[in-house]
Amino acid sequence: MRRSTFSILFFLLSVLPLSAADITGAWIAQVAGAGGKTSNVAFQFQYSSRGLIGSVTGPGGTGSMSNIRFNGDTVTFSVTRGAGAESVTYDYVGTVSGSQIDFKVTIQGLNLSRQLTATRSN
Amino acid sequence: MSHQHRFGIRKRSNCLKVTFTLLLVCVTVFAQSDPGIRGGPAGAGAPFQTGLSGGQAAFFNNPGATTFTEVEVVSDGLGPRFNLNSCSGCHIHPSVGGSSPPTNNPEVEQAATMAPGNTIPSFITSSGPIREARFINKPDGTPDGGVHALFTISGRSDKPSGCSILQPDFSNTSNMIFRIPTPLFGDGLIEAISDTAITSSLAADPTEVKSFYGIGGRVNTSGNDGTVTRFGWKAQNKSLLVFAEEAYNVEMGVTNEGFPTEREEDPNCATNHLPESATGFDSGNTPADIVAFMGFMRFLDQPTPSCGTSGGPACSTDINNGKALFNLTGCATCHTASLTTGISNVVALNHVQANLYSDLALHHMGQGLTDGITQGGAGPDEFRTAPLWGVGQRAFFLHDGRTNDLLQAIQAHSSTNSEADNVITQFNSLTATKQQQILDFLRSL
Repeated sequence: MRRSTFSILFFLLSVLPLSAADITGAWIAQVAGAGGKTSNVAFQFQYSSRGLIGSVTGPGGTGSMSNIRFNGDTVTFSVTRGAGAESVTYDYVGTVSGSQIDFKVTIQGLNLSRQLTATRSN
Repeated sequence: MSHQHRFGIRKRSNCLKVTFTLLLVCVTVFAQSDPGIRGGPAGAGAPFQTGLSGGQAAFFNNPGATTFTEVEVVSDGLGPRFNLNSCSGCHIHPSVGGSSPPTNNPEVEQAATMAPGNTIPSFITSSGPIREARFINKPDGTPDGGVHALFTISGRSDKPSGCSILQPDFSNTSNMIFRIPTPLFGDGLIEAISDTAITSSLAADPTEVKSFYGIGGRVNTSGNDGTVTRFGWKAQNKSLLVFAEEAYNVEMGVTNEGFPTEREEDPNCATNHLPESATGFDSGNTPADIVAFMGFMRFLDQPTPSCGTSGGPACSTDINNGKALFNLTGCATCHTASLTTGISNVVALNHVQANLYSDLALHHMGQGLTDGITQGGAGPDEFRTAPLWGVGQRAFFLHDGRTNDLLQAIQAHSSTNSEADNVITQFNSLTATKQQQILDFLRSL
């Protein structure tokens, strides 16, 4: 009995970091857009049979997240915008904290990053 | 001092020398630099090879090119104040229609003959760019912004008798800004791009790179009809005809049907009947010079890059990488690779891809480049994205020609309140090899 209680506790503790933050649902961030306008970037996360999946909707349309990983309160993924030789892939690293995700975004292969804060929209 | 100690010092000293030499070699080998003006054919200066009617092709040559290269004298309308005496005097490199030559500045070389007795201002040098000067403020402190021509006709043998106006006082260079000639290759295509194409391109951000780098921008517009203006360093001119009219009056002092009054009305100097160049209503309805200039510019083909064109050699891996990096680092957000022309009654201009590397919009370029001049809707630090087609053979960069080094020109895009700040930060974070690839790509254009 005591052993099984420990086993359950151990299991819960080992799983806890993966589910400490709830990322599922819709998130939205405001960014300075082209032409000096502000535009919205929307993030959608959900669990499927393949695990966590998501999409990003911004001025360039909607793109699926790839290489998505969620561990503890850190989420990482990539999104490609545009097509062919002109396409650009962005790498996101986000820290989930309650109803906020602070993202650091870089263009794949380059160094400059920008900060983005998304808040829950549902 | 013991032998051993001396030997130790010598050994350390040699070691330092070797290290320093290696360091120097490494820096020399890996430091990025502007490859300089591309050699080979000009790849610019010819009319469109297809798409011009017989009449249009003939007009390009005569009266177009002949008038564009004609040297004006006082009886043609030159002066009373002027910067140079021919369109092709300024627009000459790498061929007629271009910009400043790298050396032998015509404003210096020709001064003795076209403006005898005049003093060449300190900011005009033989190895420097052709420049016009604008005064920021008037002596009373109110805004000026106008061009103050460098030379007068006072010392010329063909001047009206009694003409003795003096050159402006160019000693206070802190109250002056300079502009260099814009290259004219492909300007007919720029003129044929619809307003919608320009504004749509500016608003579009399919790869979200504009948003990433925080690039804004807006178009300059005509105070008369509200449409998009696009020629000149601040996109202040609507059309090639307006551009020609203004330049003829401002740079050469020749009054015309667009700008019919003299800028210098000293009665002893401004003695020609106005306008000095006009349609020949009583001489076979010959076109005015401004129409000839317009035709020459309108039918002037876009520059041909050194590689990557149909029928031309393929680009090297370095250049292709440079092009990709030019996009990723955000340079292409303003220096848009191409725009497509709209409907034109000239086949060569009708629905054609113009590879101009510009969005034709205004952008805030910050304190480092601001010139304090307002033109149309363009504010003191706003400039039109300079088209980069033909930049491979351009000798001077930025609105005032402050540098002949492409790398320095890139760096000058970064300063307080410049829209390009993030882009330049990204550029600076690249390895020297990658920066070199961008420079090589640009010099291929």
